[in-house]
Formats: sequence, C-alpha cells, structure tokens
Amino acid sequence: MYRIAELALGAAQSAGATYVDARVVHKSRQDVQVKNGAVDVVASAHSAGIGVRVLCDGAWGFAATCDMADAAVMETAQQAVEIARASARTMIRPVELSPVDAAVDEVSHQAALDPFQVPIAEKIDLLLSCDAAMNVPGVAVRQGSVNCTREEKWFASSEGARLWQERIATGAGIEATAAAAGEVQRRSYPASHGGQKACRGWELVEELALQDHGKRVATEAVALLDAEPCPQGKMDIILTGSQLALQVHETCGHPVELDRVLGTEASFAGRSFLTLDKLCSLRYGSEVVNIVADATVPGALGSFGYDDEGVPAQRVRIVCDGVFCGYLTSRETAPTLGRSSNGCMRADGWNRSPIIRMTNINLLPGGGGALADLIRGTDDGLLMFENRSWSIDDRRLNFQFGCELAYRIQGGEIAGMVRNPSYQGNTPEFWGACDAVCGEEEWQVWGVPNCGKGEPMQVMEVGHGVAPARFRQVTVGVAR
Amino acid sequence: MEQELLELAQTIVSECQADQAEAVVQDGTEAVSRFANNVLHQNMQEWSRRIDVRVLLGKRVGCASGTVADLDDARRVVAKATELARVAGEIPDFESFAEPQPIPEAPPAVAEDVIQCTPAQRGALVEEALDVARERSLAAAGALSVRSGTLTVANSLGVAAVHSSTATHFHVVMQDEDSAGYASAEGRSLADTRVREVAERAADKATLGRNPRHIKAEPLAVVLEPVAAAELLDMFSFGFNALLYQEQKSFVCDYLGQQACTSFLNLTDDGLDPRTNVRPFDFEGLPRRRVELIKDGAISGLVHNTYTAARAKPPTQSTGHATQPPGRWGPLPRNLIVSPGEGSLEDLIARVDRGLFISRIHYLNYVHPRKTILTGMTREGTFLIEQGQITGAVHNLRFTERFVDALGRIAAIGCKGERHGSVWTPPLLIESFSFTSETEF
Ligand SMILES: [Zn+2]
Repeated sequence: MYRIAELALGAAQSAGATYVDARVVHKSRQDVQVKNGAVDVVASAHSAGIGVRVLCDGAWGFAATCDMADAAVMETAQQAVEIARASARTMIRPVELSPVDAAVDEVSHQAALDPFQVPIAEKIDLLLSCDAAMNVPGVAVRQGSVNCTREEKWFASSEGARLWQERIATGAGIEATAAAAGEVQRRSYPASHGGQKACRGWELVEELALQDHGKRVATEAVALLDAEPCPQGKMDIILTGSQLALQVHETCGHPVELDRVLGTEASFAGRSFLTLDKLCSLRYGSEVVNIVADATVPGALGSFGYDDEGVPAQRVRIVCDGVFCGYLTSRETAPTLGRSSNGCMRADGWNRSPIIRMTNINLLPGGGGALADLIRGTDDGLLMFENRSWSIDDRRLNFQFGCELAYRIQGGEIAGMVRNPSYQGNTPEFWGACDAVCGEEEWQVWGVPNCGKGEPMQVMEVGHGVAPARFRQVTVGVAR
Repeated sequence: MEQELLELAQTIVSECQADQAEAVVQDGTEAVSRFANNVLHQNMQEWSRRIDVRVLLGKRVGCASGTVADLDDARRVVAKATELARVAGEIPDFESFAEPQPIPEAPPAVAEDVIQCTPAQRGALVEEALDVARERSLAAAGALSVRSGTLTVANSLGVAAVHSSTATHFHVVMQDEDSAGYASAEGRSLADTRVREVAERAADKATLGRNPRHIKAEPLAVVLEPVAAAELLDMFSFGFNALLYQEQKSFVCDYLGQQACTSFLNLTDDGLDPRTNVRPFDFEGLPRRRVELIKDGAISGLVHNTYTAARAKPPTQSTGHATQPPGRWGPLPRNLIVSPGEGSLEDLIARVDRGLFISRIHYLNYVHPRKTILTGMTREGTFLIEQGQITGAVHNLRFTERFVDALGRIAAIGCKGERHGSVWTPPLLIESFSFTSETEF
C-alpha cells in the first residue's frame, strides 16, 4: 500500500506541492442487533480508499478516491494540488507546520480475542439471552447490539514518514423501553446510545456480562413510568459513569480544541469560551478538577500510535488543580501558542481531511473515595445514571443534560427513584461547584464512538476516563 | 453513467443465488470549500462509489456494504451479504424485498453548472462572500458545498430504478466583535447559492447585532426564519416514522387524528416537489408517495417502508420512505413542505408586540421524544422585537419546549419559503415559545 501512497506523493510533488501526505485506509465494521426476541440486523461494511493532502503556494488542498488504480490515484493527487492553488487565492499568510520527526513505524493494537472471529451465531445467542432477561411486562421494546471495527492505515508524507497502524475496537449494549399512555421510559446498560466501546476485543463483551443486567434494566424502565418527577430547583448532584464522561466531552473536550478557539469551526460546530487569553489563567473548576488528554491509555477508544499528521500519541495536561492549562493542537495551530503539535489531528476515513479531535479526555481520580462515600456525604441531592439527552451552546458554556434515571438522596441515603431527571448549568460555574471526585477504584474509561465535527461531517471515536463526581447546588428539573 | 450503474446493480443481483437480492449503488462527487477568518482553510473533493447489498434466505437477511471500484469488488459485497444471511437468525415479520412499481417522471434534478464546477470556480464564489466581509470589516466563516450523484436500486423481483441529482449549499457566519449573523441558501445549481446576497444578509445581521442586550429567559413570541423553522421541523418529523410508532416511541401514538396544531398548518412529504431535493424513489426502489403528515392542523399520517407496512395493523403499502440499508432507524420523511400562508417576513414581525426574531438554532436535541420536548440554543442573529419592529440584538437563549404544543400556537405562516436540508418552509410566527436559560453572548 505504501507503493500507492508514494505514487500519490510523487504525482502531487511533480504538480508543485511543497508538502504532501497520503493515507490509504481500510475500514471494516460488523453489526449484530437483536430486537424483541428476534434478529434485527446482521450487517457488515467495508470501506477502502486514499486521501491526499497537499500544501501548494502556502495553502491546503485535499482530494480522495475509492479507486486505487494507479491512474486514478495520480489524478486525485493532481486534483489536490489544483484545489490548493484555488485556496491560495484567498491566502493571507502561508501555512506553516510545526516540526515533527519523520517516523517510520508499525503500530498494531491487537485484541486479546478478535471480535471478527467470534461466530455470528454466538453473538446472536448472547443477545437473545439478554433479550429474554428483559422480557418483563410493560416493556415495549427490548434491544441489544454488538459491533466491532477494524481500521488499517498506511500514512506516507513527503517529509519521509511511513506509518502503518492497525486498530480493533468492540462495542456492546442493551436497552429496554417501557411505554404507557403518553409516557416512555428507557434504561440501558452499560451506557446509553449503543453501550460501551473500547479498543479491545471480545473480552470486553465477556467482562460486561450483559445478560446479568437485562432483568434489572427492564424492571427499572417499567418502574420509571410511575416514578416521582424530577424535583425543580437547586440541588447537589452526583454524576456517574457514561453521563459524567459526556459531561467532560461536551464542556471540556470540545472547548479545548484549538481550531474552535481560532475560529476555523465557527460556522458549524462553533467557537469556544476558552480563548487564548484564558490559557494558564482561567479558573475552569475547583481544585479537585484535574483533566488530561491522553492518547496513550491502553485499550481506550481514543488511543492510537500516531495521529493523521504522523505526530506520536501524547499525554497532555488540560486542567491542573482547576486551572485551564492546555489545548488539543495540530501542526498548523500549535505554533500560535509557540508550541509543537500534541498530536490530535485525525480524519474519519480515507475520504476526509484530518481536523483536531479529542483523544481520551480524562477527569483524573480524586480523593472522594467510593461512590458510597459521596452518597453518604450528600444531604439532599440526585444520583444520576446514563445519558438520555444533551445540548450545549456554540461556545460550550450553557449546557442541559437529561438522564435515564436518578435516585433522590436524603440524609446521605438513597430515598427513591426519579423520572425524567435533568440538570442545567454554565461550564466554569459547574466545574467550580465540583467538590469531590471518587478515587482510582471507581475510575473507568468510557468510549464515545459518535463525536461529530467538521464539514462534511466526520464521526470520531474518542474516550473519557472518569470516576463519579459530586457538584453542589446545580439547577435541576428544567425539563420534566 | 446511469446505464452503467444500473447494469452493475442488475448484474450482481441476477448472479446471486439467494431467494432474493437487492443492491443499492450510490456514486458521486462531493466538493466542500470551507473558509474562516476570511481565508479558504479546508478545501476538498471526494469521489466514491458505494454499494449496499441485502440478501434474503427464507426469513434471514444479510446486509453488506462496501466501496467498489469494479465488478469484482461488487461481487465480494454480495458474497459477504450471502455469507451473513446464512448465519443470521430469522426475522419473523420479514416478508419480502419490494415488488416493482412504476416510478413517476421526476422534475429535472441535475444542474450542469455543478457537474462542470472546478476548484477555481468554487474559490471565485467564496471570494464574493469574502469581498463582503472585507468591505464591512467583518470576519467570515462558512462553506460552499457542491454534490452530484446517482442513486441506483435493483432487486431480483424486478425493481430497477436510477436517478441522478445535484445539490448545492452555501452558508456563512459574519462576525463582528460582539455579534454574529448567519444566512444560508441551497438548491440544485450554483446559482441557487446566491452567495453575494446571502453574505450581505449575514453581514447586515452582524451589524445590527452590535451591543446585544441581556434578556430574561421566559416564554416569548418568536418569529422563526425559515432555516430555524426547518431545523425544528426536521427534528420533529422523526415522529412520523412508522417504526417508532409501532414501537410506541412516537408522539403520533398520542395524537393520530387529533387536532394538535394550528388549523392552518399543513405539512406534507413529497419526493417529487421541485422545491425540495427531488427523490422519485426510496432506497428500496419504490416511488416516494405524497403523504399528508399534518392536515389542517390534525396529525394525519405516517411514512412507511416495506417492512413497517407489512407489520402495520392492518397491513398497508409502503409510502416509499425507506432509508439506506440496513435501515435500522426505520422510514423517514425527507421532502417536507409547509404550505405557505400570507404575509412577508416583515408582516410577521409587525404582528409581534414583544418577542424574538430567530436566525438559527444550535444543538437541537430531544429531551423526551414521545412528548416532543426539544431543547436547543439560539445562535448568530437573535433579535428583540418590540411593537412590531426589531429594536436590537439580545444574548442567546436556551429553549425547552413541547414542540407539538408550540405548533398549536402558530399565529401566522409567511408566504415565501426556503429549502433547508429536508424541509421547505416559510417563516413561522409562534405566539409563545418557552425559553428556559440564558447566556452572556
Ligand atoms: Zn463531540
């Protein structure tokens, strides 16, 4: 495949490009879904092609094709140069890239148990057993799914980089939806919106023990139909697992993307309240809030060997003792800060040009002990589980989240189930009200496989390590 | 090209040994020129050909898709789908792929200027917007997208449908120190993007938006520009999906046949309407039928694919709204039209005593789909209307609203509509819309 990539490099350079990188990407995916006691979907998808990114006359051009015949590849590389020349008409300053060592390397993230080798029949059987466990009166829809992806990528640059990477990921989840007149309630495990996903193999699915949770999620979904509505007002909240992961994603992961800060996503995804003047000065959260971007966590969904500019994976401080101290950067944007790229440029496949993406944006464990300790230390509050809805403004300040289920905490004890729980806040105020993050024993990385950004849309797999955390006096019950 | 793609689809379907086979080929070119800070910073073009194959063995369905450069690639996709169908369990409700039906003649859907468009031409169009930004000392960010493509569907029961189309979209945010304005246009040809006019409109909003005031979040009257109305209606229209209805997840379960909306609201879906992105048939190759979703304010219809139609009680016919295989989200309306009313955008504003003019909506999401509770933010052009006139800009607000109820409070529908995404709609005046929290920008 390097031969094809090198063909593109040569063609683009002959056409006048001063920098070229070419990525050949093969992606495969398999999906198995079961619904209401029967198979719903058994599907596979394969995508292969080459994308060529060039600098010519100081500006960018990108072209891609799924036809990997020599002539088509060379024509595509020449198109990229023609596009760059068109971009250069509007240029104010030529693009300059921060230096990177041209790496020659092979990185394979192999799974312990290859999920593609597990027979489909076994996957269906597992999901049918979960389905049977969820068959509780009042449940209208029972659903379970497993999916796996394999990506193989050859990267070659005119600076001499030659990188081959292979990456396998596996995901799984179940959900039960209960319905009555005018009301629908859903519960899922281990996370909503398809479940958990990680750069691991079938061993992940075995560890999740989906079938052991079927009856519980179904029973909870039915119980929610008649549960108390969410109280309204200000109250302490404890966020757990995948909901806290999404909170980190939306209020920290996106606003620290340097391209948003510099305005290059302004028309679509939006900008960021974390403007350059805030770096190393803004109090983002309380002193217990420590956040890193870490592309090196083994098995996490946002981990890799090198980004799509050939920059090695790194661990970077984002928030240190509550103070905002770092961005996610690329070779083009990092020099704005007088720094080199910290390796966050990734593309959603061969047909997309890389943009700044999250890696694993992790809230580091704190001194809050176990979840039970947090509950005991809460006088009147809500303990929230699994995301149901999310929305945040284009600067990443005003957010509103809904969860599948909450428990009321009174006097340090769980007091009853709450339906349609929601909370709303402002990012620095909210993280400033964080008074405890649980310890290492509760810490876990959650995969978010569907982060959307860019035009045309690019969907990216990222991760978030979190342990349950408490936030004091948050507005709850906006949307009942 | 159409003939070549149809032959490819028919060849692999006829070679397949399964009980039934279906192939969907999507072939196309997409070019996107993105600009920000008055510079073209991402500029790309892509060609792809993708094939989706479904194979039926008894009641077992296997789906496979792949990018294909030649017939052998396509054959590999069929082999994969067949292999999966052998091991897939049965889908008890699954009857058959679609039986062929005549596809009606569609209005023209291809613009030659899109097929011929070069990177330099796209650059020159973007320059028109950048000129406006520079003349007015604003920072422009946006994108010009042009697409051309062919959708082909064939199956072993005799379905054979092919259709080519082009689409263009231009949008821009003009930014000043404490303000921003959004405008966009889309259609079939480069001319439909009206770049200079759209850029001027966005720039006017940025200028008018200086020194925004803070206002309290509370229920207020709103005038929704077509793009904002389209975003809300697009999200709301998920509920007309027959699969969600059958699974009791749709608001239609609670409202079918009821007068839930303003009596003069009519919402239809029509794949042949030239105001929308014309699509004469769906991903099963069936004609897209005109469906009245809201008729004179009453919730009146659902959209179906072959599968949901067969399991409906009583069984009905597909309306031709199947989505891309495997189509697990069910059928969707993609050519929505709100019947125009009377009066210009200015007339709608003139009817508001105190309220908001909304240009664009950001991060819209369902809080509760069955109740149609939606939340989202205003963005890039939110203005206060007092005594029938726009009197200045305000900080952005969050709304949390039961949207079906809001459709019952429509006071007026404008006479002139625009196409945005899957929806063609005029501006809407809604008497009261529930704003629930505030921002400082
Ligand atoms: Zn995201």
